This record gives sequence, C-alpha cells and structure tokens, in this order.
Amino acid sequence: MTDTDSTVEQVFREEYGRAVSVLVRALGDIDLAEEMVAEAFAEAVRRWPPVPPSPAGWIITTARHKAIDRHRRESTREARHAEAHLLAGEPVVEEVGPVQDDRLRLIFTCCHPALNRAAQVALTLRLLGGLTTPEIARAFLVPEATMAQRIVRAKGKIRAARIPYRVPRDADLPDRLRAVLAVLYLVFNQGQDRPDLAAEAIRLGRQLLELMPDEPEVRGLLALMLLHESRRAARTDGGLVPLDVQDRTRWDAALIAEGHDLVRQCLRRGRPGPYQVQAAIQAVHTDGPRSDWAQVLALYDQLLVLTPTPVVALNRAVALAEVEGPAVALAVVDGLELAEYAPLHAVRADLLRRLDRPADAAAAYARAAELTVDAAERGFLEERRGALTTGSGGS
Amino acid sequence: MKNVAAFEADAKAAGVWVFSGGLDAQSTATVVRRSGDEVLLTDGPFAEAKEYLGGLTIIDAADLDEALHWGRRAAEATTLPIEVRPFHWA
Repeated sequence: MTDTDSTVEQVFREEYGRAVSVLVRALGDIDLAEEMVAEAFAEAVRRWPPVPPSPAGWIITTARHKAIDRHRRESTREARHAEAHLLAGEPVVEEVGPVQDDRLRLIFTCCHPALNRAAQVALTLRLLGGLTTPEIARAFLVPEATMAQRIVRAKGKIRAARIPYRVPRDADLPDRLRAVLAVLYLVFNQGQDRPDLAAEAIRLGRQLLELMPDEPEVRGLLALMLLHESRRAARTDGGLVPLDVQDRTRWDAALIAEGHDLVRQCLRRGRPGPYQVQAAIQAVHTDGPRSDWAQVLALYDQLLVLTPTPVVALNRAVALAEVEGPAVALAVVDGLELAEYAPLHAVRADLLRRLDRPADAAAAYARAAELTVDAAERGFLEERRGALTTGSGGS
Repeated sequence: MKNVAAFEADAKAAGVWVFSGGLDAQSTATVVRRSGDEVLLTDGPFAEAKEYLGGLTIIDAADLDEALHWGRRAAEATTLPIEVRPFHWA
C-alpha cells in the first residue's frame, strides 16, 4: 500500500461518517450523499499528496462540488440555478458545532425505532462507520444479497415514510438514545472474534460521548466496551480463558485506566443506568490482582433492580457463588427460566463440580456444549467436562 | 369513545387532522373482484383475520416522528394497534 492510499484510508475511517452526515443534510438524500462522498474519496486517491490541511473539509467540499456538477448535468435550467445556489450558498467547511450535530442526526436516523434492529445496525455501520455491504454481511454471517436488500429496504423506508434527519426532542430522547446504545453494544458484542468490529463500536462510542457528554449512559457504555476490550488478548489465549485464570499482565493497562476514569466520572454524576453499572462491575474485575466479589455482588443487586432479566440474575448468581458459596447460587440458578441458554448450563456445571457432584456436572457441561454456537466456547466446555471425568475416576 | 373524541379534537386544534372514519363490522363486507372478463361478488371479507382494518385517520404531518406522535395518541385513545403509513392523495 502506498502512503497516499494509507492516508486516504485513515481519513476514510475517521471522517467518512462526518462527510456523509453533512452531505445528507445538504442534499436530503442518503444514496446521493454516499455516492458523492465515495467520488470525493476516489478523487483524493488521485490527487493527494499533498494532503490538504483539513482532509475532512476537503472531502466534504469536493463531495459538495460533485453534487453541484451532477445536478447541473441532470436538471432543468431554473432548477439548476436554484439548487446550485442553495448548495454553494452554505458555508463550505464547518469543523465544529453543526457538523457534529449532523453526525448525531444521522445516528438517530439510522437507529430510528421505525426500523428493525438488524436494519439499524446495518445502516449505522454503513453510513457512520463506512463499512461496505459485503463487510457488514460477513460480520453478521448473512448472505451478501440479504444484507444488500436489508439496507436498500431501510433506506427506502427512511425516504418513503419520512424518517426525519434530526436529534429527537427531549421527551423522546431517553428512548431513542437507548436504541442507539443498544446498536453500538450489539456491534461490539458481534466483535468478540472480530477485533475490527469491536474497534468500530468503540470508535462510534467515543464519537457519541463527544457529541453527548452529559448522557451518563453513553459514558457508561464506552467504559464497559473499553474494559471488556482490555482483556481481549488474555481472554482468547489459545481458546477461551475464564476471568479468574487469565494472565493479567496481558490486559491492556491503557484501556483499563481510561475505562476506570470513565466509571469514576459516572459515579460522580450519580445517575446510574444499566451500562454504567455493568461498566462498574468490569471496573471491579480489572482492579487489583483479584476481583472483589462482595462489591461485584452488590453491583449485580443494583443491576437486577434496573434490568430484572433472567440473564442478569444468572450473572448475579456467579458472584453469589463466590460470596455465599455454590449451594446458595445453585438454588438461584435452578429457579431461572433459561433452559435453552448455554451459559446457564455452563454456570450450573461449574457449581455442581464445586459441590462435588461430577456426574451431574458432566451432564450440565454436555448440555452447555450442545447449546453453544461458539467453537472456542464449546472447546472450553468439553475440556472442562473431560477434566471432570478423569478427576472423579471415570464415574 | 370519549377518548377518541378528545384525540380528534386535539388533532383538529393542532391543525393536523384531515379526516377520519370507522369501518363497519367485517360481517357487512362484500368483496368485488375481477376475474377474467367478469366481475365477481363474494360475501364476506378477503379473509377472516385476527387483525383487520377498523378505520382510518388521515393527518397532515411533516415527518414520521410527528406522525408517530399522533399515532401514539390514537393508540392510547382507541386502545387498538395503529399502523402508521404515508398516504398519497389520488
């Protein structure tokens, strides 16, 4: 790759979403905006170096000019004048304020509740992240044609049903923001074995925090993603490595420090929410040589109040086992209605093992391995089960 | 019904109401269908369905968010699910 290519690629990663956002506002049309921005980047590949002082500004200006040219070629004389005037009349380079608002507008359009979650995710990655349709299809294990159709349909709905291009009113903001955060977290989780997707979710999370610094859940989500990401190298060290035996020297200290900082800022604001509490739990796990389970349990108690779901109750049971012993935790786990959920059986297996019930534990490991779709996880579960049988003399 | 009247009054006051009306029971329906050169009449609705169109409210909204605001109000007033779609004048 030449230097020019890598410069353009870096600008593309950083600024694609901003450029598309500005152009969508100027042109009122997503497809046209994408096309003009793509042409502007193609032009950058031909023309750079020298790289202009504001690469993003150059891309936006070039894309605008291309839109004007296109319009001149295609429209009638009167419409041509009006439109070109309109386009040229807008300030060309806006580095702050309104430009940031444009990205915020676009993310709320992409994550509008009138679109289904899969469409929200695809549009966000495509329009703000600059991922191509084949890249998004691969990330979500969906045929390319299906993903293309999904994106076309979503854009069609935005156009036809007039999903607006603006930040929601205050009254709607909490609900609408929840959808945006859910989309980012879903992208992040999809990045378990795709570091590029996790990085994209973190990048978008950073942008969102910059745009909405007063929303504690935005801060909480970013902290949660950073702290989870900090353990990537240790977590997947030749298979799946559980937290308590991970090599802590392989954790990313910079990400941990940043995540802890964000969690402290959240605590100071005193407006807890599910992402903040989950981030606080991760902060406890990444603080010092051992997890403080009593504190983790207290945080799970809080999380269970905020989001009373069986999955949260299951995670709480793991902490409960550390504080009050496996028998108490097992009673809780057996009361949960999550029969098809692999982690439930993995947790049960581990509790049964600790309660010295190897046969029951083996059955639970087998059930967990059967339900999981993740190969590394299945390997780990089968290994655990194998260790069990040898340990208990083949019973 | 009082809630529905209040909803309509609010929509009129806000200047978004165009017209609205309810459809009679499915048992009153007759379907007219072209078949080749003929037009056939059949008793009853297209298909007995659990959910069917009960009525129509046309409002003049600038975008989907505004339309959904009134859709939400209509759902609260009628306690029925409201499908919100763009309407194009013939």
